[in-house]
Amino acid sequence: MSIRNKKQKGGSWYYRLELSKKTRLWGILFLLPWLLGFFLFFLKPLIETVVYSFNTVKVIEGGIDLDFIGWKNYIHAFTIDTVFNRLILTMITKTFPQVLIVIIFSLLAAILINGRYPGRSIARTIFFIPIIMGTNIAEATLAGKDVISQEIAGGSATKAFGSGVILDVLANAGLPLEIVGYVSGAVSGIFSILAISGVPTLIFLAGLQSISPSLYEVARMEGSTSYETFWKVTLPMVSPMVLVCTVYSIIDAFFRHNIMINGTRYGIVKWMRTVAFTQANYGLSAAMAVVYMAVSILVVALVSYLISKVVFYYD
Amino acid sequence: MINTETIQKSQTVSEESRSTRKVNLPAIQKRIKAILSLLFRYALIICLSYMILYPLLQMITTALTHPYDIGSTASVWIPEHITLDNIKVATIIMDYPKSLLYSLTSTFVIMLLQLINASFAGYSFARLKFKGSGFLFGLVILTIIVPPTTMMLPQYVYFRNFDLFGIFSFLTGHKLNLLGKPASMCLLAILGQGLNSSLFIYIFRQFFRGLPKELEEAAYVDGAGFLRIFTSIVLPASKPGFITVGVLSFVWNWNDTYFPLLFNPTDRYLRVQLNSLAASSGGSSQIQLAIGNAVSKISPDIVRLSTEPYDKMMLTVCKLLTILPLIIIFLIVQKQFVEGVERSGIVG
Repeated sequence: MSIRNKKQKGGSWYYRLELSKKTRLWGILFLLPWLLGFFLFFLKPLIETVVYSFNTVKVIEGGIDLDFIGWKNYIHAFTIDTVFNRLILTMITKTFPQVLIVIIFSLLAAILINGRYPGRSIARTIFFIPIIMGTNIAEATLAGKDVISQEIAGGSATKAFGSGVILDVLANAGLPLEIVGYVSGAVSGIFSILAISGVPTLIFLAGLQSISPSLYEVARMEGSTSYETFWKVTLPMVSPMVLVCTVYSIIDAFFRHNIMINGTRYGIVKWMRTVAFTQANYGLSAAMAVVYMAVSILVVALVSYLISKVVFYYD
Repeated sequence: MINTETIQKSQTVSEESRSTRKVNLPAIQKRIKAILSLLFRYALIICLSYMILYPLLQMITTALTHPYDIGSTASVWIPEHITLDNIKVATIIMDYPKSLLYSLTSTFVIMLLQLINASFAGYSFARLKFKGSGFLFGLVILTIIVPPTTMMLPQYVYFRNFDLFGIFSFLTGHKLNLLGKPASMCLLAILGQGLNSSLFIYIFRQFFRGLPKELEEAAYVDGAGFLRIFTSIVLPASKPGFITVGVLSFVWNWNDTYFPLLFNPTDRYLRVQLNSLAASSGGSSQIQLAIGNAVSKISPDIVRLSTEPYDKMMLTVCKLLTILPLIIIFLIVQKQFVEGVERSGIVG
């Protein structure tokens, strides 16, 4: 009753609106905070960054001072800056093998912990712990050392796993050295792979849960083996999640990318920060940010285009 | 074609076995196969769980080790002399109770603001579609892809001279400096540009799309407004979704150092403090400096050393103290979290 009364009081123009118009009004109202934030904190800064990248920028009282210098910042970033070009290059070359391993591993892990068996809730809790342990998009590459991930990735744990034995076996088996190197890299990096696979595993698990059981029933009645079921049912049904996970992993890996140069660890995000706030070269930092953004968008667009060609959508 | 062949094969096999013996051989084989695959699965799960838990267990062991036993090979998992001294020292140098309270409250507030913004936006994208909402959702995807570092400098300058449509300079005569105040991060969170906010909008949209539409339609026919439908029909029905996003938001904001260092650089955040403790500055370790600063508060009967292995051990204790609240919270809500993940169906 109270609702109806309020409505009749609250302006007759609203009461007379069609449903589609009301939906539109409320849709925009619900989105209003996000829209405001998008323009204030995304679009405006984005344009400003692009403008900064073509200027020498000085922070003065009450604002900034711009001085147009054309492409010089970009030329500086690629030719004079000793760290940035290496960071961008290794960022791309290192990310692809890593993302490949992460996707395969997290899909297998999700299949492993999916299904009904005693103790599954404990298994799931443990498999989500890497998310808690602090490996995320905004990992602490900015502030120097990423202490928790290093604990997971490095240290005595890797040595205890004895990747040397595996390496010896593979090398003696006559495999090409590149493959041996790749495999040994993957094995010795198992702890870091585990640490960054948390969210992809979660996404895959959600995807596996949403596959209708009737599909598996049909497959069983048709007499397909579990191997066939995986390739014909599970994989096509989770292929949209492969796309989501790949995009997520790429962005994540780019953001946390860091390499050792002459004994010092440089992270791409940290380096941009250093250039901007320690060297006070805001224009150069903005140019780096634009290059970084362009690379991210290009890579993500290319990868999603390639994957979306093989993705199967059920509905 | 293959399928029909396999069916025929299996039929002939079963007929043969039935005719030759009374014992149902394929059934036994099937049973053994099932048991074997279950064992295999358990073996894999236990191996991986061990690898996931290894660093955590190692940290706990290290935290309880007596300083004199560092590097001792006499014990592997359970330290020879168990002591709480390390934890006491770490609590004092991190100013733990105060820092913990600050980190908890600020992370919780940001999580709430992110939940409010993301749920409203997600609901709008899922149900209240209007012309152009598809395009706007494309923009959400764009904000997921574009790294936040791109906006680092303009946002910094903006918060230094903060003004919303000239309101503040009109009222107070000067622009606000929001740097070094938690307000800047709260503002970003409520306006949907905080840490991974777009991802949360995406998850909420998927979640709301999975809810049965009939409930909301029935409520509308009964005369409820859109806001009322959202608060009294949709919100109670999507508790698992809120818990999933809430946990992710809390954990990510807790572990984040990018936003605090840029907008509110204070050691009150445990994670920021941890990073400054881990940083090495000109030979002397930050741990020793911190112990030196707080030396009056440490009671004299606590054993502490000034060696490098001891510093490393103290750092491990600090790490453990930093992630301990997260692990406790996670263990409390993990059941709802897992359920939320399963129901959200974060489908592409």
